[in-house]
Amino acid sequence: MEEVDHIIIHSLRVIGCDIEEDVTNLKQFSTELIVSAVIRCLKVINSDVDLPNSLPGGMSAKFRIGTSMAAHIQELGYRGEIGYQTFLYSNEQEIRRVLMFLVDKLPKETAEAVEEVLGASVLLQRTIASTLAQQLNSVWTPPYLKQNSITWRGSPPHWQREGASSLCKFHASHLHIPQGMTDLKRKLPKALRSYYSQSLPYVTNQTVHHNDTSSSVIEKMASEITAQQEWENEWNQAGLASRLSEQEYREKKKNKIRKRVMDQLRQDVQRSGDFAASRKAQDLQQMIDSISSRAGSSTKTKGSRFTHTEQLIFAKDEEKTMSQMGGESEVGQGHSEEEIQNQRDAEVEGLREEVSGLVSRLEQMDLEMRKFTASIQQMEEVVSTQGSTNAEKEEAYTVKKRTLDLLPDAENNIAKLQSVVDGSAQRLVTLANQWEKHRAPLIDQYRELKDLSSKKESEGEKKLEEIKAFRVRMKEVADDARHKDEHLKQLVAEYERMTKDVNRSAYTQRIMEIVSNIKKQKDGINTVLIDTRAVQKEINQLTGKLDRTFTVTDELIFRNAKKDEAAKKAYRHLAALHESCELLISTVEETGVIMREIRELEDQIENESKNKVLSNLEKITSDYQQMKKENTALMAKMKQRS
Amino acid sequence: MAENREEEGLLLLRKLESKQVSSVLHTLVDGVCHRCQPSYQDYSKVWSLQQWWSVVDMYQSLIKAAVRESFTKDRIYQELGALSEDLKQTVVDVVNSRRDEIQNQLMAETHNISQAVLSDFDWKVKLIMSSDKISSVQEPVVSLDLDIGSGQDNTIHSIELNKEELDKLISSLEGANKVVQQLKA
Repeated sequence: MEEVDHIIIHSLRVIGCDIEEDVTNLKQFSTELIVSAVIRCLKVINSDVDLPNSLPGGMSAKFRIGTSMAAHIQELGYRGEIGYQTFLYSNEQEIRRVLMFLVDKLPKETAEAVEEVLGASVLLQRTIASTLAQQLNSVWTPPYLKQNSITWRGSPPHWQREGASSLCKFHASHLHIPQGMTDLKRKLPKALRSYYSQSLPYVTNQTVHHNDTSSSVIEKMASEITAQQEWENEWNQAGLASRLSEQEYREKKKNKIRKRVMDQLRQDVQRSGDFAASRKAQDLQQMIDSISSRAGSSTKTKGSRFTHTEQLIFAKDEEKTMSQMGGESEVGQGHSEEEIQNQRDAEVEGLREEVSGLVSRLEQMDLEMRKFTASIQQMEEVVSTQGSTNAEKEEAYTVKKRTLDLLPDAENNIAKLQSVVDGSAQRLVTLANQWEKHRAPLIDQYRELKDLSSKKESEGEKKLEEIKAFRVRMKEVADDARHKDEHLKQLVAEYERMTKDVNRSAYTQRIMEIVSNIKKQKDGINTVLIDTRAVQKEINQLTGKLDRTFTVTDELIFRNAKKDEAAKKAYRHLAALHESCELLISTVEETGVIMREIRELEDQIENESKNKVLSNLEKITSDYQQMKKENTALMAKMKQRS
Repeated sequence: MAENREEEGLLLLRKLESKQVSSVLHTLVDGVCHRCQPSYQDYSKVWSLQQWWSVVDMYQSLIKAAVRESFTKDRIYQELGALSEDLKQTVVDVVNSRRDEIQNQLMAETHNISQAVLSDFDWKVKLIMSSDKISSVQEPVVSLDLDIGSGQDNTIHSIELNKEELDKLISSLEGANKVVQQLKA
């Protein structure tokens, strides 16, 4: 029972009842405490209950509160006997039952946790709805009153963002950070070092707008990470198999891509070259024109003093020349203007013809020159071919000449030649033999080396495979470790959450203990039952035996009794003995029954004495007296009024 | 005439104190890389506006040329003409220490494969709570800003996509990525 009391008292304290520390069981509860605890429980279960937190002074008021409390508890579904007397004239067991029922009905905290799991989307929607409702209800404030559209309001007031006027684009720009600083062995060039230490602006100053700083940093980090990952992937897949060092691999790849791009470009150029060749000259001319026209207008200052003065000076000069020309023309005014005009036209015409003649001659000359150069080339080629044929012919001539020299002494010479040929053939054979000798071991060596190299290759391949497998495993293990770490963190968090609820584990322990106790007791009861059953059996056996022996002896003595006087006496005695024995047994049984009844009654007495009947009776009588007094006082008041 | 002006622009560096020279050159390089543009206010006491412009133009074009055609030290010295040895050395140092950066910038300016190029993008997800006809819609849409640069000017194209459209866009982009990967391999 103590455990139950502990649990009840703990949960009452949790819901805010003012129970003193030294109260450890329900026996120590006073009437006031009981009433306040029950009312508190009722209020927690159902917030509509309208009852005062403590007992009022008047007896009738107490009575009313008691009945209403009983009614509330019955509404909750309590199925025991309950009335005002349960609280006012308390009985430990009844109070325990009522409090247990109430504690059981208390709303569970775990219900909230279950609701939380319901789904993040639901929660999100709820929060969105609540914020929207709040913002709809709150008063509009102009944007210039909110710095970065952050405000301090709501109930309870908290910082929050309102409106979207201060949002900025996620715009990233390139950042430059010192590189190669971590490797202390390699010295940085002095110029670079001074740049890093003096001129390189901080990262926060490198962006054009200050808002871009964080986004730029994030972007840079992300790009570096992805580049690293991509490289790792590629290195694992293709890089290791190529059996090159990292640098070599990179170099090779770079060259490959460069070559590819170059090929592509070359093809495109060739394809478009034919098409564009016809228009090329024209385009070039246009481009030059446009550039020159742009150059004219490219000075940034539209009207600096320098250009103004320049213009002025030139303008004056032009004017002067104009005026001079004007003067000249005045001198030759004697001729008629038409004549002059004609003369001039003729002159111009003549000059033009001359020019065109010169141009055509120039072109002709050009053509001729080209022809001549072409013929020069041709001639050179002819000369070179002639030279080569000449050399060939000379060679042939020398060979023929020698053979002709040999002709007169033909036989000797033939013999000589034969011997020379033989000698050279022999030499060839010996050389071949020697070559064979050298060759065999060399070939053997070559084969061995080949085997060795192939072995090494296969070994290398194997090792590569192993390395790959190890890399994969490494990643797996790292992933595993990370997962486990996360799991650990989760579990730790969970554990921390759990440790707050110490009672739970204590309770479960207690419950286990109680269960084991009950088991033990059950075992004891079982053994006792078996014992009693054995005793019963024995008794039955004995009575059976007794009956049988009695009938046997009875018959025996009865037969003898007809003949013998002593036997008759003995028979009578036997009958008397039997009867008295039976009587004895029955009285023993009766005493047993009575003893049991006595014990039951004693239990009942104990129970009744626990119910504090006497004290409660005294209390009731005193309360009754008080009520009477109150009633008489009221009556007196009534009379006074009337 | 043009030669003279060039010479002048290059020689104007002499007006500065030797400490300032390298920082000026670094800011000019920043300008080349489209970071903080150099501002005239800082040097208004040293140069007139016209001079400032000529300094900026000359040195920026020199820096670009030096990186583009990978000038050697002697070539840069030659380009700088009658400048003193110390100043020449600082110019060479600055160019050498920022070479990679400038090269990347120049490459980024020229390696576009078409006239208009996607230079940046931004996205936000919006949740449509309800409409005038339906009380609860609960449909997420993404609004995508594509920053498309063609030549000097950038235009922003904004599009709004629902889930299926976004999936389609992503799958087509993944196809493009596959092509790029094949080109790389």
